Amino acid sequence: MNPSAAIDAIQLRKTYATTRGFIKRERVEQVALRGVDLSIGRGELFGLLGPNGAGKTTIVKIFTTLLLPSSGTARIQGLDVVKDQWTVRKRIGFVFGGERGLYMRLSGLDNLRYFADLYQIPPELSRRRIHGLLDQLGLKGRENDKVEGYSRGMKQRLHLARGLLNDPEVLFLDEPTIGIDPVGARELRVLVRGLATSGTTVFLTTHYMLEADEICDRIAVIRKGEIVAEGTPRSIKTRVEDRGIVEFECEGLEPDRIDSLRRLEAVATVIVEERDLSQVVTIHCSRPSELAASLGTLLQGRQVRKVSVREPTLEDAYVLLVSS
Amino acid sequence: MRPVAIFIRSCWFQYIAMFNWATPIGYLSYKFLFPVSQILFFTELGTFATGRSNALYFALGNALQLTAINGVFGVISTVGNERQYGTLPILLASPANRLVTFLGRAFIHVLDGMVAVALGLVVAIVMFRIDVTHANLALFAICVVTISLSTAGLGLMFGSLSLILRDVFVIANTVYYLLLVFCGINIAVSSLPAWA
Amino acid sequence: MSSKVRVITPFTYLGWLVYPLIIAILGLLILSQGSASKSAYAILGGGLIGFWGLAYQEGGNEIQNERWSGTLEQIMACPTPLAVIVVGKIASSLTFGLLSFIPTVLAAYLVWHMSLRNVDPIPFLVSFVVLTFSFFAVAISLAPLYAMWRWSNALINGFEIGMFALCGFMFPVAQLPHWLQAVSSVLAPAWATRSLYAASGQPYGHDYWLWCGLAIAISCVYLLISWALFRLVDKRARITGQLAFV
Repeated sequence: MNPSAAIDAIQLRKTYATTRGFIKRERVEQVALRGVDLSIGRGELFGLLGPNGAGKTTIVKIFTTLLLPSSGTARIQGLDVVKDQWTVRKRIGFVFGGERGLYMRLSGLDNLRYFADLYQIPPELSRRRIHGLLDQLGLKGRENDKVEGYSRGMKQRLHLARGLLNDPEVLFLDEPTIGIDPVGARELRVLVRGLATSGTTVFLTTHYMLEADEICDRIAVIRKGEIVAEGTPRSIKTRVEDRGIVEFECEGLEPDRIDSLRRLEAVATVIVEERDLSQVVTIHCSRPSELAASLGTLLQGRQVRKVSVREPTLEDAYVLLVSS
Repeated sequence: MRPVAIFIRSCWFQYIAMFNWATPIGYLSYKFLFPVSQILFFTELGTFATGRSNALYFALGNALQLTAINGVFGVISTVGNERQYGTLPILLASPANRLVTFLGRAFIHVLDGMVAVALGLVVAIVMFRIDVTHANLALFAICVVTISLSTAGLGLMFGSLSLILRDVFVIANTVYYLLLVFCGINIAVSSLPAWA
Repeated sequence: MSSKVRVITPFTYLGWLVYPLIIAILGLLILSQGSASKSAYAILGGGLIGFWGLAYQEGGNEIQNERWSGTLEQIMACPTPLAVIVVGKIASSLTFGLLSFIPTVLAAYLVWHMSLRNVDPIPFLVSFVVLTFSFFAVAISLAPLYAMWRWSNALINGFEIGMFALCGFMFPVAQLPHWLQAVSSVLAPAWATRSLYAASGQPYGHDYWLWCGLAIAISCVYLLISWALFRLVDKRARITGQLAFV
């Protein structure tokens, strides 16, 4: 346990118990987290990446006191999320985003006023903060309109305003840019980076590699409830540094031909994506230029189009980590 | 065959979707608690006002009216829930025959409504010792089917309002309770004011 | 904020205006066939049912509404305890519930020319306060059930009309079978309603202060139960993680 850490998790485990069936109910256990260890410093912007169902939201909910872990410890600024939940709640903010989570029939302003009351913010301070946040997040002028009339991007910004009301020391963002247009997403990323720079610890989950690469100080990749990689975006990319990516389009590529590509010594992974009538094949390999040159021979009889060779990105590293 | 397949699938999915949140307890409370409560309250109210000899009138009437739980609430929620869960635009934009789709969804409530009436009758017989030995059961069954179909029709009619109104469940509740007033269930239609 | 939502939500008008008015009209139609001594039940019954409906259903349904709008997680994870938030919502429900008496009493007076002639004002007011307290106690003890179990909405809603009977809103509890009267005896609103009708001049016994005392005592027991339930809700919700499920 790191006493100076803003967020700390030691061997965090979570198993959900559900029931199946109507009359004869069968108990089914689903393991969401399998011993997660994390330590995030104060003022750090930390990104958690992983496929759907990997356990990202479960971790966030444990840290935000909404879920009890099955075993293990989670602390926020040294406070146990289980025993000290009321103190933790005062110090954190969280944004789950999405279309729900706001009072649609109330205005944006009323939503913020209500949550300010729930966070026990004194009236004068709440008034100043609300107006500051509305300005900062581009909601000024629309604050008296009902939330049901807001665009998705505006709702997301209102979620963020709500999450920042209590000026949290630690902020959890669960896929904050989902469904937002590129311009809005960029503005949000600048804002989040600014928060981290001013000392707020930010824990972010995202699917967007560009986002993680651009703004996060460190990232972790989670797969099936376990952390499979952790480090700076640069260090994660070194996992595929010695590799290149060969991509091409083809039609009617048979499974045994794909297997033969996989068996090549220099090839690490082959990913085939079906798009309409054609297939897009992405190969992670150690000698991409050689492989690209030999595709015509290897796939004789098949028309190979749009062959490209490129440097690996964070996304490639991520794909390698979650699909291996 | 396509309309028939849509009809049957709509029936089945509608019924599952309505109760996907329910454990046996939740389902039983909907099918048993509410009917028992309604029959108990209105029969006791009626006998308080007019004497024990009229228990049959109130118990039987309220047992029959139970089909409106399915016919009115159930069918209206068929359309209302589409709006609430955001699937209404998808449904309306699909090429599926809307009449067949919604009739299929309403039909399961017709069947379920008849089950509700049967349960209500059992409750009425047990709680108030209603004597049905001299009843014309065949005619009674025809009445039950007719009532069930007509409440489902009412439900479809008012359910269509959810295409333009958001709070259609306000209407569902109002219609359901107005049936108690105007259909001779708790008060004979001849006893109502002339304008009613 | 809960009140503001109610004002702009059509469903609220069903709760305090439409529904109690329909039940009151039904009660007036049925009870007007009986003797004049039952008039207090006809006059107050609809209002009581509306008042109760908003406290019993809407107070608890507030949790369900939070679940449906996706805000339940947000409020569970804030520093203000859920119980405090629910108290505010129930207070809002009760305030709107009081409005139910307006259309129902007016309907009884204007259409059926019925009024409460034998009301004892101080006891009537006292029993009204006790009644409100008992409704509050029931609502706050039911609210955690809505948070814990998604199917509790069906269970509690299913039994709503049954509560009208057990609490004696439109006829005396003595009308019920003995075994149901025993159930009624543990319901605080039943005793409060009895004292209210006694103060309205109904000739059904006058252990007025005993009934008020029982209503208050049983309500206090409910409050203790609700305190325990809220603690259980917090723990259980955090184990199962089902707050976001509709």
